[in-house]
Formats: sequence, structure tokens, C-alpha cells
Amino acid sequence: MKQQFEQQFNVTVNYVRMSSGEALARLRDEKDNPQFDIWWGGPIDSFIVAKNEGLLAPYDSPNYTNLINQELYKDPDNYWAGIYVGSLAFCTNSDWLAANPNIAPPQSWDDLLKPEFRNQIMVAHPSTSGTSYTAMATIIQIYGESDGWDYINQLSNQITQFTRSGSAPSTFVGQGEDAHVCIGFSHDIIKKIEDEQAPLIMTFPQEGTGYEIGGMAIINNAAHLDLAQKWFDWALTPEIQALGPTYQAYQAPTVAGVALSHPELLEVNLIDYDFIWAAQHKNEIVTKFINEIATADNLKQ
Amino acid sequence: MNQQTQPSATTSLSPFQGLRRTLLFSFVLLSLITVVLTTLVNSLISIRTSQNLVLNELIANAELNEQTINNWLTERQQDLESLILNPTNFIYTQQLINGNQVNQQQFLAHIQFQLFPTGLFDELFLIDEAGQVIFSTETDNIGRNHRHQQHFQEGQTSPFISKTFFNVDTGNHEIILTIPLLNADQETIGLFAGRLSVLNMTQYVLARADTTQTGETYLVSRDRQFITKLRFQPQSQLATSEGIDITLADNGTLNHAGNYQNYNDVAVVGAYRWLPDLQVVLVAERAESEALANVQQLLLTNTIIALIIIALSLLIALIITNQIIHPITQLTDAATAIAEGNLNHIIPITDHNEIGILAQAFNAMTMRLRDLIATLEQRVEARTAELAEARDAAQAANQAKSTFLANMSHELRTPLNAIINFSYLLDLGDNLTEDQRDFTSRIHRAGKHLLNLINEILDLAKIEANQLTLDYEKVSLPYLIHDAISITSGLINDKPVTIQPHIPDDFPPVRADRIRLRQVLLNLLSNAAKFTDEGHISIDAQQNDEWVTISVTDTGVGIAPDDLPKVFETFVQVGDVMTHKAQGTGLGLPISKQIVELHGGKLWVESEFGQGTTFFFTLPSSPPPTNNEKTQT
Repeated sequence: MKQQFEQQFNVTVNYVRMSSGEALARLRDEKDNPQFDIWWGGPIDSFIVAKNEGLLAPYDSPNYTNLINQELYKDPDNYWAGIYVGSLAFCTNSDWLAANPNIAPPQSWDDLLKPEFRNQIMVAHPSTSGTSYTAMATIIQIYGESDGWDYINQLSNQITQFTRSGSAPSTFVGQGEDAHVCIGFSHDIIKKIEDEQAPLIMTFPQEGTGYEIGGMAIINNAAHLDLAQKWFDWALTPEIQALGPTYQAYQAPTVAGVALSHPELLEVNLIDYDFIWAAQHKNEIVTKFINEIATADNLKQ
Repeated sequence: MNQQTQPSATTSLSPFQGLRRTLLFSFVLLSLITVVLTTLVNSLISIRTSQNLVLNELIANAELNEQTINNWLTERQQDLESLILNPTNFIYTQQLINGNQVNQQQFLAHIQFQLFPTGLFDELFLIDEAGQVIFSTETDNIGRNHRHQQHFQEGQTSPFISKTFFNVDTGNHEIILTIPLLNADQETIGLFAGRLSVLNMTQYVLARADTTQTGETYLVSRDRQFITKLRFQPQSQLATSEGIDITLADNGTLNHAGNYQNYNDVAVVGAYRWLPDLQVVLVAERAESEALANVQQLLLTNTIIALIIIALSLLIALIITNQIIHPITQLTDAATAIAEGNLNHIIPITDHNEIGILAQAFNAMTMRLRDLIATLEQRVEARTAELAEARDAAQAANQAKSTFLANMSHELRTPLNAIINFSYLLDLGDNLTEDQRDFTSRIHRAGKHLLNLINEILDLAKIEANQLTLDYEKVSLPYLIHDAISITSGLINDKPVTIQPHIPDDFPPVRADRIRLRQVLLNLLSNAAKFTDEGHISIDAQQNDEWVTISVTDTGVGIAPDDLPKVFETFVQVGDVMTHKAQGTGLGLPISKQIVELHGGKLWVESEFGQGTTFFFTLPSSPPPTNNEKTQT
């Protein structure tokens, strides 16, 4: 993406990879002196939070018309646009399963609480990871507030370590060292399986699974507004979204006219994930998680 | 056109042309190349050496800082240990972990009294066996759970230092240190932990890192944040530079150093390395301008020395060139003087080298030349006198010949006229016998022939003596040609030959000597009549802007190709061998040719043997005007 844009517009793009929570924290920190122009990727829950905190700039892109569903895939006030869609899934190390024939990969959220998965599950920490926050918000949306937290509390007993980034658990589980089951986005798991030949089996929870809309937004007071808008328009074209699979990003596109590399990832039991609710309760849920479930200090890198 | 190149005696050279310029240029070029090359190589080596020195210094600096950071962290661990081994604190912690009610305020005060005032730790906290924070200097954090954290899991048996992490809550980059707390059975019953801010830590560690004007050492996190204070205000909080990029891309497998632009686009010499324990990039940099200040001083000195050497060599080159050129200039001046005719020029001989010898030889040569020219003049004078004498004698002889010829012809013509006239008178009378009439007739004809011969010889003599002058007037060619034809007709007698003039009556008059022109026409026509036995003789005249061309064409015997060049030679008669008509003097054609040429025209012949002959002659359309011009009526 970076190289493509640099070639096409003859500019240099600097990028920093951060998890959603880190990005949000960084944007808050730099509110008066923004160092970034574009926020690219991660669930829109964080984008909605950022919009409400005045960290983003609205932009009425002419390419909104390319979106498959303008109601779902863009902010009603034009503060962000969706650039991909992805569903949550579980991964299990297949070598570990082979060594433990009586263990079956989890097929439901409840399965994760089985004794055989104690200290075997890895997931990111919702304070830093949008993936993890989507998972926690999904759990609360499925189980309800009270049962949801109870479930999360029980789940934390099954978890070895919380990671900083949402895609890290599938990496570690693929290596089979610290844990053997992960919760993550299905496109990240597919990438490990297909491109890195990680010994992983992917399953989806029967109760239903949450999904993310990956967002993109222009930072308020961006130093290079022109280029940011160019990037914004450019990213909402079918030609550019079609590039995803070529660099192992298997998310579904948000614009029409692009073939899905893995349509099966969205042909599962998706819950009616409430993004607005998720955004509104994000700070509250994360704080509660840090205070009651696990501190955010020194997360696994 | 005869073109001759005259050697110019006045060729001169300005002081910086020619040999002097070549010599000077060569000397200067030679010294320039040597000096510039030496300076360049010298400077390059100096730059390289100096850069390496600075790089090594920076690498040492980076290594030292890495070590210092590690030492510092170990010291802090020891702080924690000594704190917790303090008997009072030990009791407090044991009680806390055992769940006994402890006056937390008292413990807090105690800890703060012992350690906290140093400001080294941001937080000190106690974690129980389950990972729960049961005591903290930051009371908000009490109750949080660390059991999923590496520092808890791996810190159970030995002291642990975490990697640098970004605290989403505080926006700081932090490190957590833990030491296990043991009970009397040496079992771990909890952890004592300290939280350090990297920024805070490095203020103690890196602040004393570099004592130079522009040097600095700083840390950059994996997400490109400057996590230590910078010496200079950065253009962007987003940490990018070649050093940082390489280190992050390389993932810490190698240590690097080099020249590049730092975060503020300042050219720096830098050493950069990945600190895997802390998960940060350590960068030690110094501005190139400062790092290479010594080199720049050296370069300046080198350049000044080089310039002095070049100036000196220029001066020496000038002196040497002058020494070589001066005697050559003297020689050149002398040669120029001789070329201009001044043979009294002597070169002063100052040098006793090759050029001195050359000058000596030149002087000797000049003297010989002077002597030679003096003798030559005498010989030329003598010879000229001889020639003048010979010329006078020849002129006198020629004069005598002309006078003699004139006299002779006069003396011959007087009696000859008597013979011609009296023989004619005799022939007119009736009292002569046939034989007598035949004799007188022969006498008359022979006399006329003789007179003609004498006239022609006289003409020739006049022409040769350049005494024939032309009497120009306007002459009507048709009239003159008809007149000549009527005279020539007599020569044809009863031969079947017709004479055909092709000339319009209104042919414009030409300017010529009428008598001489008539002589030419008569000569050509009578020749034609003589050598033509049948056919015709035609006369044509044409005129263009330049020439009037008259031709006389006959159908006679023609002239053999070998004889053609001879027809205009005096006393040569062509056709003699052909039995024919050895009549005439053989002077007619040469005289005619001379007359035409005196008019400024040409006379020539074209002939095909056995077919006929054509004589052409031309007259200028406009001959030189003359004063005594007559008009023909």
C-alpha cells in the first residue's frame, strides 16, 4: 500500500504500526501537535471514540459512492470510512491437537471455558488491541452485561498471557510455545495458515461471532491534509481494495466491484454487532477490564 | 595568376603567445596536477580517518550507554532488594501478603522515607501470590491483577526486568522491575515491584552521555516515539531517520554506524543499535560539521598550502620561461631585422649554452651574408654594364638594318617602277611583233611580281621593326569585300569557280585600317583562288558584341594536317610538293596574321585535306579609338 501510494503520488509515506489502543493513546497525546495524517486500520469502535473526542477531521470523499453500504461503512458525519470487514474466530494448534487426541478445537464461546483449555488460551488485551475489544464487546453483547463479565472473568483463568497486538496470539499459538488456542480475526488466522504454513485450525463460535469494520480517518489538524485526502479517496477505489490479498490482507472489501478472496469468512453466524454501543462503552469496559481482570502493564509484545 | 607567399617580416608575438605560453602552461599544469592530486588524496584519507575515529567513538559511546542502562537497572533492582530486606519493611510485607491488617500509611511513609525521595521509581507495589496488587504507592492500582504478565510469571524465582512497554494509561514508556518475596521456607509468596519511566531513567543515564556541542544519545521506541529528551527540538514527534529505520527493519540483529540525516535533517555521524532487553533503539549521533571540524580545518590548511605551492610554481615557471624565451626573442628579433634588410644587427651573447652557440652561429652567418651581398652588388653592376653595351650595339645594328631595308626598297622600287611603266607603255603600242609583245608582257608581269615582293618584304620589315602604324577609320565591309572580289576574279580565269559573298549590304561598318584590311582580304581571296580548281569560294561576315568574324571558305585542295602549323611561318609555302602554283612570296599569310593581330584580332585556319580550307579572322567590334579617324564615303 505504502509503496503503491508513494509511486503513484511521488511522496514519501512514513508509517508506524500500532495497536488500536496505542494509536488512540498516541492521538490523544498529540492532539495539539498531530504527527500523523491518516489513521489506517483497526476496528471502527476506536474511530468512533476518537471522533467523539475531537481527534478526527471530517472529509466528504467523492468516493463514498463506491461503498457497498454507505449506512454501515461510513460515519454519518464523514469522520471515518470503512476499508474492510472481518469476523472473529478461534485458532487451535493442530500439532497440539494431534498430541492430545481427546481434545477437540473449541466450537463455541462456552467451549473456551473447558478445563483442557486452562492456561492454553491467548488473546490480546482490550486496552491496546481493537481485536480484543471487539471480542470482549461481542461476549458482552452475546451474554449480556452481568453474565458477560462473569464469562470474561472465567475466561481470564484460561488465558496465559494477554498480548499487545490483536494478531499476535495467532502467531504465538502457531509457534505452539506459550498457548495453543487463540481468539482473533479470521483473516489474520487465514494469513498464518496460508502464507506462513502455521499448524492452525480455525473454528467459529456457534453462538455467533462479532465482526469488525476496519476504519480509516483523517487526523484533525493534519499537517498534510491534501495528501491525507488523496489517500482517503484512493483507498476507497476498487483497484486499491483489490490489492489487499496481494499483500496477505484477506479482509473483505467495503467497496463494490472487488472479488472477495475468502468469502467463507463472512458466511458464518455473525451477531448484529452494535458499533455505536461498543464505542460508547469502550472506555468504561477497558477500565473495568484493567482494574478487575488484568492490568495493562507490560503486555506480551 | 601567379600567387606567391611572401614571408612577412613584420610577424610579431605578444608576450603570452607562442612558446612562452606553451612553456608556462605546461609548467603550471604540471604543478597543478601534482598539488591538486596530493591535496585531494590527503584530504580524502583525512576525512575517512576522522570519520572512523568519530564513528568508533560513537560506537563506544553507544556500547557504554547500553552498559550504563543495564547497570542502572541492576542498581534499581538492588535498591528494591535492600528496601525489602530492611527488617521493618520485611515484616510489613510479610504481614501484607498474609492478609493481616497493616497500617498502609505507615508502610508508605516508611518506603517513601527510604527510597522514594530519590524520584527514581514512579511506583512501588506489592503483588500477592495470585497476581493481585495488594499495596502500591499509587493507590488507584491496588486490586489490579498481574498474573498474566511476564514479570509475574517469570519473576517468581528470580529478579526480573521487563522490556520497555507503552503504558496506554499514562502515555509513557515504562519498565517494571520485580523481585520475588520469599517466606521462611524459601517459597515465593509474592513479588515486590517497581515501575520506572524510561524518560526518567535516561535523565540520569544519558544526560551525561555526550560532552560535545552537537552530540546526543537518545532512545526511540519500536513505535517510533522519542522516549528520552532530545537535545534539539524535533521537527516531528515521529522518529524517523536512516539510523532508526535500519535498526527497526533489521530487528536488532546487527549494530550499525554511518553518516545520514537525523530526525531534523541535520547531517550526522551516528551509531545506532537495538537494545533487545529494553526493546528500544539506542542512537548516538554527532553533527557531521562538528565531527569533521578537525578535517575541515585540515582541508582549509591543505587548500591554503596548495594555493601557495601553485603560486610559487607559477612564479618559478615565469622566471624559467623568461630565461629560455629571452635569448630566443633576441634571435627572433635579429632574424626579423635581417629579413627587413638590416644586416648590421648583432646579437649580444650572454649565455654560454646551446642558445648562445646558436646566436654566435647566427652572427657569423649574418656577417657572411653581408659580405656576400656586398660582392653580389658589384658583380650585378658589372654585368648590367656589359648588358647595356650589348643592347646598344644590337639596337644600332637593328636600326642599320631597317634603314638599309628602307633605303634598299626605295632604291629598288625606283628603277622597278621605270621597268613596269615602260614595259606597259611598250605593250600599249602597235608596232610590236607578237614575240616582242610577249616579252614586254613578261617583263611587265615580272616587274610587278618583284614590286609586290619588295612591298611585302618592306611590310614585314616594318612589322618587325614595330614601325607599322594603323590608320583607323570606319570601313564598310561589304564594299571592301566586293572590291576585293572584283580584283580576285582575274585570278580565276576560266576555272569553274564562283565567288559568293554572304554579307548584307547594311553590315555595320567596322573600324580598321582600310588599306591593311583590304590587303588581308586580298591575300586570303587570292590564296583561295589559287588553290581552288572548281567549286566556290565564299566570304562570310558575322558580328557579336565583342567580335566581327570574317571567314573565307574554299573548296580547294585543302591543307595536310602536318602543314597546318606552318602556313603562318615566313617564307614557307604550303602545297609546293603538289605541283601547284609556287606563286607568291610566302609572306602573305604571316603578314596578314600580323596585321589582324595589330588590330587586336586573331587569324586562324581550319582545313580538311582534299575538301577545302577556311581562314577566319576577327576584329574587335570596338577597337581602340583613334584621333585621326576618317569617314569612308
